[in-house]
Amino acid sequence: MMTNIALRRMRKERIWSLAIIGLLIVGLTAWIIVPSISASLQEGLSSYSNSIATYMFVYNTGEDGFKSRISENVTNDIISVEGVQEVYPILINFSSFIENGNMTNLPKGAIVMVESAVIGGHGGFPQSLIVISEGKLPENEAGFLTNGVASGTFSMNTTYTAIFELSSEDERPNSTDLYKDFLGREYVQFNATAVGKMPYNPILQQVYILWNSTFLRQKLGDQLYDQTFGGEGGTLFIVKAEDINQVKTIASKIASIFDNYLGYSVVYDQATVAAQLSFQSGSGILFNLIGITSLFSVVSMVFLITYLFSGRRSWEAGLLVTQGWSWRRVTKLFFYYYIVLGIISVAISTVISLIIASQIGYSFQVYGNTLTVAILISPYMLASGIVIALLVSGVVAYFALWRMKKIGLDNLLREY
Amino acid sequence: MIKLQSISKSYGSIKVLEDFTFGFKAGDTVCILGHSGSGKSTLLKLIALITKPDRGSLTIDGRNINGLNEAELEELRREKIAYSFQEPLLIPYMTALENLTEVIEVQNGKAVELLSQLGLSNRLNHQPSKMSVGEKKRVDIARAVLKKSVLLVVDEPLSSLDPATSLKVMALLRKHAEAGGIVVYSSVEPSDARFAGRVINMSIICAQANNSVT
Repeated sequence: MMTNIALRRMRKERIWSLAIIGLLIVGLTAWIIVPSISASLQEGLSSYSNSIATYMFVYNTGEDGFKSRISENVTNDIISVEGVQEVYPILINFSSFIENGNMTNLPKGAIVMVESAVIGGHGGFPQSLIVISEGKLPENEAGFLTNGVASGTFSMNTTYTAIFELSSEDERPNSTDLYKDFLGREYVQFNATAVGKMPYNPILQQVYILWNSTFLRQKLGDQLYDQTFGGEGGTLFIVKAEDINQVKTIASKIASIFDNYLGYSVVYDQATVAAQLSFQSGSGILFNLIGITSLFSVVSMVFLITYLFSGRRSWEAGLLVTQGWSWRRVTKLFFYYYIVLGIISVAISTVISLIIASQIGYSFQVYGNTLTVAILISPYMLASGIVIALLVSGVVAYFALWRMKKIGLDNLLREY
Repeated sequence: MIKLQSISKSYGSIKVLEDFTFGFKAGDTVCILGHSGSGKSTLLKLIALITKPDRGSLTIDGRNINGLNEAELEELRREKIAYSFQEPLLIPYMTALENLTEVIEVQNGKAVELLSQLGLSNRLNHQPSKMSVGEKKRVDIARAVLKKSVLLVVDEPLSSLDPATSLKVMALLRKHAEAGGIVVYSSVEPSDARFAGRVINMSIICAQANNSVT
């Protein structure tokens, strides 16, 4: 019955009720959407930073031509370090390209050697870490990916001539052209196209190009392939920490594991780690402030509006009391009225928030990558919006009762 | 039984009642007569527990209202008192019928019967905004009558009513008194006092109250 009366009161007071609903919608939408945006941004940036800056690299300077490989035992040692989530042992080797022309007229020194690896498989670069910013991943074709640094040397969709030196013991692959230089060294030579580009990213600096492993095995033959990119061990280790806060400690422990291996050093993106740690500590307060400010603004606004409105038609309350209604019952009627307005407002605010969230997306340029952060509406904010509407309705109803009692029955009736 | 003992009531510097004593008993029909501003409505509001006296005591069935808390006053209003306003006060978003059935929670049939008796059968489902002042006045009086309280307080019941309807309304009030209730009503017209068993002339009381100041 109370709900029914409240609904009729709302219909009768259409304009005021709509005004309250409108303002409640603005307030509640702000309450739902602002912290949701903050949380999504924080989550998105944090997630990105955690997924990038939690990587460390144990790399070989290549002074020995990547001849010595670190055994599997070391991989196990790294993985046993507390806080290490994943270890990727990767085999890095030089890939050589003829800068101009081909082997027949190759002047000495016109060979470009770049550190390279293959994609996927044991010793290969994990596909999960590859972000293509342009072009595509090479699929069973004469192609390779370049990184941001190498893209200065290799143009996209351009075909280059690659050469891999053969030792006297190596099998000669049947399907590949062989060339001999003036010193009598033999090479496997084939054409390959730069089909995709990884953006410049500090974590990928050590790998200039990435080959399609199937294609390369076919060109090099099993024996040469295994010598360069296949087999046990690794010459580059990518280590993923569970948490960005652990990176520094883990890097130090890994460095001590590699103390006995010359030419290896542990690097990680200190700037990103420092920035992320600073971001986390600084933005946490900021986002909390945004949330609290939103809450305070909404509650104040809703309370002010409903308080101002509670003065309207207060003679109705006086009338009902003279007809035998208790003040408690009158309060209940006011409460139901505000609850109805609150529920309608929350429902509309939810829909509006979802629409706004679906339309907003933030994009950031980070290390050449476009980081897109989608805005997700937090169920917690939705639930708290309902709680706010209920609480405010209750408080306003009781406040209205207090105000009316203070005015007195006689004066309330004079307001007619 | 309602007793007003040495009641005084003022609004600012204007004294409305000064040391006023009166008693109402079952079966009484009392007319409070007086010109506009003489304090008729104030006296009615005092006995309907809408306002409180500045001094003196008001007892209803032996209970002095000065010693009662708000919950006990609410109970008295609910159980013992029915009040009809000088200017008809109806809930604007309820129909004439709903202003009876939902405000005082009386049975639909009884409400329809009484409203029809007062010539409002074609206004049952009209909201107050669609009704004349006289029609609203009848709905307001019907609400008070149907509440079946011992004390029926009606502020100027005959204003805005035509003579025939006035007779119907006064017949209702008298029936209430005959059934053992107390009817207290006010009027500015001395001729309206003919329906009452006793009359309080507020014009004289008000003048006395203010003379006593000087």
